[in-house]
Amino acid sequence: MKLIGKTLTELLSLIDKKQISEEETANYFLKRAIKYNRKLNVFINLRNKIKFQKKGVLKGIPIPFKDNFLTKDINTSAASNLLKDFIPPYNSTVVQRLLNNGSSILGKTNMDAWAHGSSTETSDFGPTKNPWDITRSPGGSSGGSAAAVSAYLSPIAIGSETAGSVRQPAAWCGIVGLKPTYGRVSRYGVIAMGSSLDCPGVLALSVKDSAIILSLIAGKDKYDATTSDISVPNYQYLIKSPKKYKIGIPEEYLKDTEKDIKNNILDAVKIYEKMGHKIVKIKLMSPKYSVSVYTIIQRAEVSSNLSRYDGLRYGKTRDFFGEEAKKRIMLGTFTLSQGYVDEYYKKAQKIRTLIIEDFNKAFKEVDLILAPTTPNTAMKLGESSKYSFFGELMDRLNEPSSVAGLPGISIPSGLDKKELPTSMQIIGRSFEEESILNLAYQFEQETNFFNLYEKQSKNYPD
Amino acid sequence: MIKYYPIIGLEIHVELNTKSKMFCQCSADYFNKKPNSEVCPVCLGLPGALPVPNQKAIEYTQIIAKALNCKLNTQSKFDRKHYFYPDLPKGYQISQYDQPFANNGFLLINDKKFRIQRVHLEEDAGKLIHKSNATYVDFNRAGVPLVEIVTKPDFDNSTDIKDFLEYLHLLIQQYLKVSNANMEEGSMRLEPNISLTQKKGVLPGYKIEVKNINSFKFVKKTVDFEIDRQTKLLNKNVKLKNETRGYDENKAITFFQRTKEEAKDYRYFPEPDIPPFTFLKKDLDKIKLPELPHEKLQRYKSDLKLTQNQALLLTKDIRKAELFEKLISKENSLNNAGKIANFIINRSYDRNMKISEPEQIDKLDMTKAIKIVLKSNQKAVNDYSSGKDNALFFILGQVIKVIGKNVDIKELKSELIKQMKSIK
Amino acid sequence: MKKRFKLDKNIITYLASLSNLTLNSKETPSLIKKLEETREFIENINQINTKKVTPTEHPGYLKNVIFNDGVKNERKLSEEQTFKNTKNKKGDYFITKKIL
Repeated sequence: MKLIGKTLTELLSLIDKKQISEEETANYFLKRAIKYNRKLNVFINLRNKIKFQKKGVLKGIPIPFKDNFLTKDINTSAASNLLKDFIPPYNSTVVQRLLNNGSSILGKTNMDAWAHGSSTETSDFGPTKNPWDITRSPGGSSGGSAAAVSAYLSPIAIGSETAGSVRQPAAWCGIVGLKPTYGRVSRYGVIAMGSSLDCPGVLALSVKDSAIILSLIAGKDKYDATTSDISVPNYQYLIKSPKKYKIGIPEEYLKDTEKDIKNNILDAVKIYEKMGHKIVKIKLMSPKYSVSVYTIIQRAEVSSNLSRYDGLRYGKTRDFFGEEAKKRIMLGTFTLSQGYVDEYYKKAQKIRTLIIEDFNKAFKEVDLILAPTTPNTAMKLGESSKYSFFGELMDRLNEPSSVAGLPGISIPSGLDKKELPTSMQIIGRSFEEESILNLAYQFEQETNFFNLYEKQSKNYPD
Repeated sequence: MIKYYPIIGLEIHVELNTKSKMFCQCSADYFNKKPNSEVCPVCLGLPGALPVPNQKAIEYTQIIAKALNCKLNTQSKFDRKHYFYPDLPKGYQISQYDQPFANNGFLLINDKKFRIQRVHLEEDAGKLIHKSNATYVDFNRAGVPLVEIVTKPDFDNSTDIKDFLEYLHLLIQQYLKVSNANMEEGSMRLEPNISLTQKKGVLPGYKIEVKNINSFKFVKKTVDFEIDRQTKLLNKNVKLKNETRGYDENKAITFFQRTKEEAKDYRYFPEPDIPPFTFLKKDLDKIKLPELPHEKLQRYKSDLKLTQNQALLLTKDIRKAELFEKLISKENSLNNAGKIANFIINRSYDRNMKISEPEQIDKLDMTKAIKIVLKSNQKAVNDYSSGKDNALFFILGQVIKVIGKNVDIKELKSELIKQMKSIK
Repeated sequence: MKKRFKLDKNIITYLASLSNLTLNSKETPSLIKKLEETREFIENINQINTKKVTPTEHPGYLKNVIFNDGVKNERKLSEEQTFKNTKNKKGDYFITKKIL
C-alpha cells in the first residue's frame, strides 16, 4: 500500500477499513520525518517513538506542532535559546483537544523565534528549508509545520498566525493554510505574541483535512476569555454542498505583486467564473496602512507578552533574546511609552477600527474576497536580512484581514517560472469559515491544485 | 513663621475574601500556607497562560464602591500596568486605568466629607522576603484580588485619617464582609500621599508617598511624623521633591526609599486577553447593600432611642449589633432597647471582637450568684414583681458582673426568672 | 503632539532599561538604524484622519466573560512542576539576588 501523498481523510478511511493499522501509519510518518529532518531542519524536537492511542477519530495520526504550542513534559522553546530547556507542565488546549481525539505528537516544528518573522530564519536552531528548493525559505513563522506537510512528513500540521504566519508559509510551500477567525480557536497554551491577533491554524494538503482539524480544535475554552461561544459547525459536512458566491478582488492587493502570482490568480478567476461564481472588483484600503497598524499593535503586545521572561521561574535570562526579539520589544515599548502612546498605539487602534469597517463595507457587496496570499514566491535564504522589517512587508496582503480578525485560507494557484508554487487566499466574514472552506474545496475538486503535490513528491520518496 | 497646611490623599488596598484568585481558580487563601503551594500556570505567569476574571471579585468591588457612594460605571475594562519586579510574574499587573469599575464617591467622617476618586480592581503580586544576601519569592499571593480605593487629597490631620480607616475597616470587614481587611495580615494596606501647602486646599508642587503602612497602631504616628518632618524641612527653606518613603515602626520614623523624579512609565494599555465589561444601569441599581454602619447608628438613635455612646458601641461590632437586634426582636418591645444594649455592651469579648463561647458554670455557683444579687437589689426585684420587665435585665447584668465569666445568657435568664418567681 | 526627532542612543538606552534589556555596544548602532527605518515607515498612519474614530481595544463582540468563584485544582501545580524549570530554588522559595 503506497501511503505517500494520501490525505488525512484517505488515511483515516484506510485505517477504518483495516487496510493499514494505526501503528503502521504512525511509524510511516516517523520514518519519513527522521529521514528528511536533517536535510530540511523541520523539527526542533522530533520524537524518537510515537506515543499513540488507538481511540478517537484521528486514529493515532502523528501531528507536528509548531514549537510555540505548549506540550506537557515535552520541551517547548518557541525556537529560542531562552526556552531551550523549558518543560511545560501542561498542554495547550489545541494539543489537548487533538490528543483527546486520538492524535499523537510527531514532534515540535521549527519556527521564527517567538514567531517573529516570515522566513523561519530567526530561529535559534537554524532555518528550515523549503522542500521545493532547499536554498529557499519555507516562509514563516510556521515554516517548520508548512515544510512538514509539503514534504509529506505528516498529512497535516498545526501552526499559528498573528498576520500571515500560516497563510504565507502555506503559500511558499504550495499547500493549504487555514487561519480561522480570531477567537474561533483557543490560544491557551500558545506562547503569546500578539494577544489580539494570534490564531492557531492548520497546514494541510487538502481543504477537507483542514476542515476536519478545525472542527476538532475550534470552540469555546473556559481557559481563554477571548474564545467565542458561537457553536462550531460541522465543517467537513458543510463543504460537501457547493455554494455559489459573489467574490470580490481588491485591486490594491494586486499592485506590487509578482507577475506570475497575478497571472495565476487571474487564471483562477476564469475557473471560478466557469464554476458559476461571480467575480467583481472591489476597493479596499491600501495594505500599506495595515502594515503600520499591524506593526505598532503587534510590537506593543509583543513587548508586553515577553515581559514575563525574567529567568526567575523558568527559562534563561533576558540577554538570551535574539536581535529580532530585542528590536520588537523596544519598538513596542516605544509606541506604548508616555508621550508617544497616543500618537502611535492609540492612533493605530483607531485605524484598526477603520480597517474593520472597510471590510464590513466590502462584505455588504460580496460574500468572499479573493487575493494573492503573498506578493512574491519563496525567497532565497538570507535575502530577508536586507529588509528592516521584512516580516511585515512580506505579510502585507495578510495583515489587513488579521488586524480585522477575519478568517482566511491560502490554496495553491499554480507555479511560477522558477517552478515555485504560487497561491491565492480566500477571506471571509468573521466566523464564516464554512464559506471560505466551501469555495476552496470547490477549487480543489476542480483543479486538484494542479497536481502540485505529485510534482513535488518525487523529491521526497519513502 | 509660615503656616503650613497638610494636604493628604490616601491609597488603600483591600484584599477580597473570594474563594479563588482574581484570574484563576487557585485558592485565594494564601495566609500561612506553604510557600509556592497555591500556584498554577496563570498566577505563576507561565508561557501561554491566560487570565479569566473572577465574577465574585467584580461583584464585591461594586458593592464596596456602592457603599462608598460611588458612581458605578456601565463600561469598564482591565488594563496592563508594566513594571519589572521579581514578585510580578508576568512583568505586568492586570489592573484598571481609565475605565475603573467605579468613580466619584465619598464618606462622611467626623462631620466632614472625604471624597473618593476611584475604586478599581486588580491582582496582587507575590511576597518578597529580604534576607541578608538574597531575596526570597513566594507566589501564593500572586493573583489574589485586590481592590484599590483612592481618595482625593481631602485630609489634613491624622485623626481624621485614622477614623476614616477604622470606618472603612468596619464597613468592609464586618458589614459588607468582603474582606478580612486586616492591616497586620496585609489584607488592608495604606499608602498616604502627604504634602504641605501654604495655601489651604491648593496642591503644592510635590507629593511624598509613604509605602505600605501595615498596622492600624502606626497610622496616626506615621502621618504625624511625616507632617512634622516636612514642616521642619520647609521651615529650613528646603525644597521638597517627589519621593517614596518607607516607614519603620520600631523607630517610628519614615525613611527615604527612592525619588519619584520621573513618574514611572507603566505603559498602560487595554488588557487584550480580557473582553470589556458592560453593565446595565438597572442591574447596577439592583446591587443590594446591607444596612451600613452610619445607617444603623442613626436608626438605633432615632428609632430605638439609644444614646450616641450606646449606638456607637453596638454598631462598632457587627456581632454585638446582630445579637442586639436578635434580642430586641424576641422581646417584642422596644422599651427595653436601652437595657438590652447595656447588657450586651457589658458582656466580655475577646480581643478579636468575636463573641466568645459561653463558659461552663457550676449550677451551684449560678444559684449562689443570683441569690447574692437578688438580696442586694431589693428595689429591682420589687419593680420586676410589679410588672416592670426591664428590671429583669438590670438584675441579669448585675448577676453577670458577679459571676465574672461569660456565661450562657438563656440558661442564666431562665434560672433567674425561676428564682424571682419563687420569691413572690 | 511631539516634534519629529530621530531615535538616538539616549532614547535607545532609556527604552532598553524600560524593557529590562541590556544592549551591548555592538548591537546598538544596527538596532538604532533598524528601529528608525521602521519608525519612518509607520509614520504613514498620520495620512489617515481618525478624528471621530473610536479605537478598537478588543476585536470581536465578546463582553463580560467571567468564571464563577470557587477553588478548582485541575490546573494546580505540584511542587515538582513549580520548580522544574529553574535552578533558582531554596527550600520552598524562588530565590533571586538581593533587592536593595
